[in-house]
Amino acid sequence: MRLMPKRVKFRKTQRRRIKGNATRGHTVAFCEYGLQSMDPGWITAQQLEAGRVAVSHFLGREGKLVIRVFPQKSVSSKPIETRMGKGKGEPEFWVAVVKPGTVIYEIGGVPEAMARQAFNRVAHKLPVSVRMITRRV
Amino acid sequence: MDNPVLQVEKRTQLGSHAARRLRRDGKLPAVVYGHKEDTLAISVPEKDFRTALQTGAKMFRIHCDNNEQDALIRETQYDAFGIDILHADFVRVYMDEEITLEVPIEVRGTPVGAAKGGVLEQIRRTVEVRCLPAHIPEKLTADVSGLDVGGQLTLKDVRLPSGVEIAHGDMNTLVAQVRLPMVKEEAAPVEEGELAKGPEVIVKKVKEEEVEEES
Repeated sequence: MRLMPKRVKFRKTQRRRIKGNATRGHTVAFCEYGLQSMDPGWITAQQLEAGRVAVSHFLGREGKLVIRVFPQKSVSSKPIETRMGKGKGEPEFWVAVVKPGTVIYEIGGVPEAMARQAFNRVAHKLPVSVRMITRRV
Repeated sequence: MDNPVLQVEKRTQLGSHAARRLRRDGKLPAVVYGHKEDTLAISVPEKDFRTALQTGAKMFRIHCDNNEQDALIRETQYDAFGIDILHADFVRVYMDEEITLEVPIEVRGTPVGAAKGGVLEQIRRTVEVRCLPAHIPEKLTADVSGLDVGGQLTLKDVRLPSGVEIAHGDMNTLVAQVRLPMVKEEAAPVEEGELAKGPEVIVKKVKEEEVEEES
């Protein structure tokens, strides 16, 4: 799966600081259980995909997984052994910017214990600390 | 069950700084409105309010300056982690007047279709009901044990306690269904060159006229 935008206005973005907590996307919206980030950070498209694969391997054909974030931001880097200057490097990978409180994944249609085990596998693929939350009616 | 009593105080200082000071002192900024009376900014003891919420209370009896009124909790705001309560909205109600509010729907039982590989999917989790404040149900239940693969449960099948009616217009609205899990087709492998090319860049089209003028 190719997790990156189809069209962009600008290929390269500035890095920017991640300030404050999430003010949107911090509740479980589609399923019963969610995986909430506790730290600010960048989650790469590869990490998101690794998490998805881990869940689908664990759950098999049961349940449903929703990815709540999308890698909208490009990260550029210079080739190795290159002298400084000569402009900004080329985009290398794509990341989703995550604030504390953001729900990254949601799982539904399985018992809570199974969802917890699935999220535990996902947590090992992510660069931020996470916790499992349940839907508040 | 009697409504939990909240001893509240009127808020004289408004705004985010005053609200933050209140929260630090174990109080919660809240507001009471409705019935074409003045909106009242109040502060509620956070501990009492949280305890009442945990017991499933929806109606409260608010004591403020020797004045008592019944109020329904309309909205509770939480912080980004869903742990701390930030603010609460109360709406004034009369005990002899019907009210409309959202109530959760709980599905019970294991569907017959689950044994055949079906997955139970709950589509609607809350429904708007109309009842007297004394008859507010904590939740509505629906039995899904009879659902086979492809079976659907609608609002008609939700069990209602006495004195409660559904305010939602369409009673055929889907609540839950049992369906076979969708098998996603594996996406065609993306070529290396295509990945390296990256996304298409949106470029503004320069009008030919402008170009001519410049030249």
